[in-house]
Amino acid sequence: MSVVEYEIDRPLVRFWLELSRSRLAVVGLVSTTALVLVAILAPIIAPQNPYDLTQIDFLDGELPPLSISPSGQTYWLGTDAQGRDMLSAIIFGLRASFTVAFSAGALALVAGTTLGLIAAYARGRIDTIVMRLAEIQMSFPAILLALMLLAVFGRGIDKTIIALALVQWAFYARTVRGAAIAEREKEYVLACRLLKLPRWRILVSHLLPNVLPPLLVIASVQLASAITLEATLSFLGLGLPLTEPSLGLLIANGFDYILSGQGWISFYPGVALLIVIVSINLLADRLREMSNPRLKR
Amino acid sequence: MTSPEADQDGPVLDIRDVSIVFDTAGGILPAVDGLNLRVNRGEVLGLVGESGSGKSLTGFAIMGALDPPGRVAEGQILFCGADLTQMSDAELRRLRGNRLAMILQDPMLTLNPTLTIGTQIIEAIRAHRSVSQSEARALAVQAMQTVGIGEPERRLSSYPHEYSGGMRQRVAIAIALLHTPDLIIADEPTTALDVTVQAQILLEVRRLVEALGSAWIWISHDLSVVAGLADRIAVMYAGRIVEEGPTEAVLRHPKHPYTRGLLQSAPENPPLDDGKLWQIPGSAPSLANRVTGCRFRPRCPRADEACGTQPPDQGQQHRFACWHAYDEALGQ
Amino acid sequence: MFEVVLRRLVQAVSVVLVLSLVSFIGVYKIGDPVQLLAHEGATEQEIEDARARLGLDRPVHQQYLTFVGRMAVGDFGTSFVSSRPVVDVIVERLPATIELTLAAFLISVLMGLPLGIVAGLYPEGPLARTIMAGSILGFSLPAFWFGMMMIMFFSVDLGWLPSIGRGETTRFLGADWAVFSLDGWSHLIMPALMLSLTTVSLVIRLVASGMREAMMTDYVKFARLKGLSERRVVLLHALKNVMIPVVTVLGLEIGSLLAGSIVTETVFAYPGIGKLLIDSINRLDRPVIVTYLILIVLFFVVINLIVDLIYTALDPRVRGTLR
Repeated sequence: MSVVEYEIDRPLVRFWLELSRSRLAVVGLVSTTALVLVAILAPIIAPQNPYDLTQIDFLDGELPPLSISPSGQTYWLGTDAQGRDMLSAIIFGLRASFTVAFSAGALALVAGTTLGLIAAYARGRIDTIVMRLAEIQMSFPAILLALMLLAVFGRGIDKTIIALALVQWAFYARTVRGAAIAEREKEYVLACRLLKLPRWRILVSHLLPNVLPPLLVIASVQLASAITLEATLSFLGLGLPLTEPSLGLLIANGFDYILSGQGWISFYPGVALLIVIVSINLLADRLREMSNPRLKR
Repeated sequence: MTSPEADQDGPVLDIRDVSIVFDTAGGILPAVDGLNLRVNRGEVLGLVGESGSGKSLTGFAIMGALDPPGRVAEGQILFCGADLTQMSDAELRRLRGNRLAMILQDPMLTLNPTLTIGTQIIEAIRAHRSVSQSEARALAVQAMQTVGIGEPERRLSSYPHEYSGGMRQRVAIAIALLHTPDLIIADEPTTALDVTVQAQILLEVRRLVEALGSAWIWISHDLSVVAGLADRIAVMYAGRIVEEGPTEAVLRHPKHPYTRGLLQSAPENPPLDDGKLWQIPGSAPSLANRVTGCRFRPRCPRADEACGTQPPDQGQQHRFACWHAYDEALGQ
Repeated sequence: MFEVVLRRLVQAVSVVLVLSLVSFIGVYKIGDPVQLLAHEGATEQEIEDARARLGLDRPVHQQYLTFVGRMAVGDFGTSFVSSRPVVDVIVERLPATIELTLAAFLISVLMGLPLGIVAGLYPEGPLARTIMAGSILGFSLPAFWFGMMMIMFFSVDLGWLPSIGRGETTRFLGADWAVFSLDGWSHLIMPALMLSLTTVSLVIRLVASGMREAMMTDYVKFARLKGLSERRVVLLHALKNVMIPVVTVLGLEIGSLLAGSIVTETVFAYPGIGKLLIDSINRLDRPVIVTYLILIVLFFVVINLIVDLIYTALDPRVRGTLR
């Protein structure tokens, strides 16, 4: 009859209970985890190493999905023009996409959090400058800024990571600054100061639990957005170099073959990209719902 | 079916054995059950209860405007003899705002922030009467004067945020009165207002009650507000009417322990030794936590085994549902 | 009110100046265009001459000042690649991008609004679930891949629609427009759909959640209690409140559409300014890149300002505070 509400004091368990109320979110979490594992284990699971020219037979070029090579290898998703197994290329492409997105996310998180904290505690002019920069950055579409930056930097994994971090830091900075300012005004911070506890301990122990949920939401949304952005930039010829093809570059490489009827070369990498982004977005949607009490049901 | 015009002599409203339920994923939750209530022409009925007792739901059910997942599961709501629960949406719409009107609790939320006051009054006029825009405007000015709003011409083109809370509630009342309805349901219309504004509005309403001859259901959690206004009072607890009768009788000779509790905990009473007001012990049950039998049982000083079964309605003019009703007047 | 506009304008001009400096220096560092432009057997002397002719032999701050000075009188320099005034090159490509962006904008509004309203009114219904699932998919689909798949399906497999260019154009008001011919429309429809993908999804979500909230408000209940038709309750009382944030977002989305057109035009080899930018980046055509960037920054600033003004006009509560 009656609904028993009890407090669970283990945050991870509580988090999981709340998250798992949405079946789609669980699907998203499982699928995202699986994809990350595939990316990490790429060299072990992939049927061949698509970068190792000795494993690639040029004569097997442009084979449709499910073809079997003379050497007895099955190409589940076909091959590209160079005879590279598309399934392997996709698995390694996933690895490249995740590497860029996670690195950019981590960089943006660290940079944004630091700047947000500095802005909140330094106040005054520094605060104004940091927040004005964030404002300008956020008033332009990410693709446009990233494109400008890469046009200046040139191609490359490191440059792409930096460009993506530069278009994402502001979201973290704004959130952290807001939370830090709210926290700063509270009484216990004053109490801590009177007790002469070091500032960083105040920050870590009180601020962190408050900013963690919104940061998690931003991080998940930005992860999906970074993957799409990188793919798009690579497609435009401004992202990753040809030697390390991400999913976006695989799709771009297949573009020319679409018109001649070999659609699978860009179809399957696209499906993989779509699955990655949908998985992350399902998770991100639930995280956002959980952190917004108005949407809680 | 009979049209609401047919019966001009009987009660304006006759609610017979109505139950209101919520359809939830976990099953059907009853919110109000076995509700019987009559309102005569020109009469003011005070409907009193704590929040969650089902009094507002009853109001919305009469208007045919329950939000899903709420619905009337059984019973009849006869309005001038015609059953509202059997009417089509179009038939209900013709009655709503016209012969049946409702005023909501919080005037800050009742009016649409993006439309002018004029638009919101005029659309209510033209929903039920085919008049030109300029005629409607003249009627709107009249309606605003009726509820004591000065400079109505100018104020018609203002937006709600330019009005105070009291003024907004006057507008809502003016809208409800536009077509001189047979029945007006007022859902705690003064609760959200300042005490002084509350008094002004109550004074205004008392004047309007006498001037218009409409019947009113005045919903409130505060017996003292209703006492000065109502001809009869009905007290609801946890989805049921526990006592109902003429105002004098209910206030002087409350039969049900819950009604007594409400009266004793009113702020007009002298405080207890520790300076606090007396309160009914415990709190009102949530929808899912109601007990069988008499629902007031867990908080009642007179409860015993008999209360495990729902007491039947007793009395004629002064009805009550209690196995151990008080006979003596209050304070003896 | 006037003061607000003025303050915003001063802000805008400073943003444009700062970004023009950043982009100028940035683009300056990309590489040496003369090396790229010179023919294979060019002598050292020829390269030096070209450099002097293009003004590239002077220090960067001098180049920038010259550039700003000229920009102030509307002279954005000459394209390294086509040797024509940059303004001409861009203006000639502008109608294509305008058509594309407007078409995508219209699709976003005409599809997003009704679908969002339906999804918000009956959130538990199967139709609403389908629409919301579609909008999640629309958010997740990489737009360029969606465009390519449309080409694969409609152009290659079915042969219904052309996959490249703008098709037939008609001269009107001194510019070439494709919307006056069926051929032009057949070239426009797929790029416009691709470009509108994210915006449609965004509008659906915004309208649906706004509608859901609005339908639970007291003013919507009260409108119903007045005996108004459900149509008027939904389309006037609820929708007007929902539209305030939606119009704001839609205004800002015009900017996103313009940025997105860079990708769209690349996929469909559509001759607008987005394609021009990518081509210019690949050919290091500095004047074109810098001009494009400055124009787009300017455009964004103006859009933001207009959106603010519209928002003020729409919401009587905000309007009141500015009077």
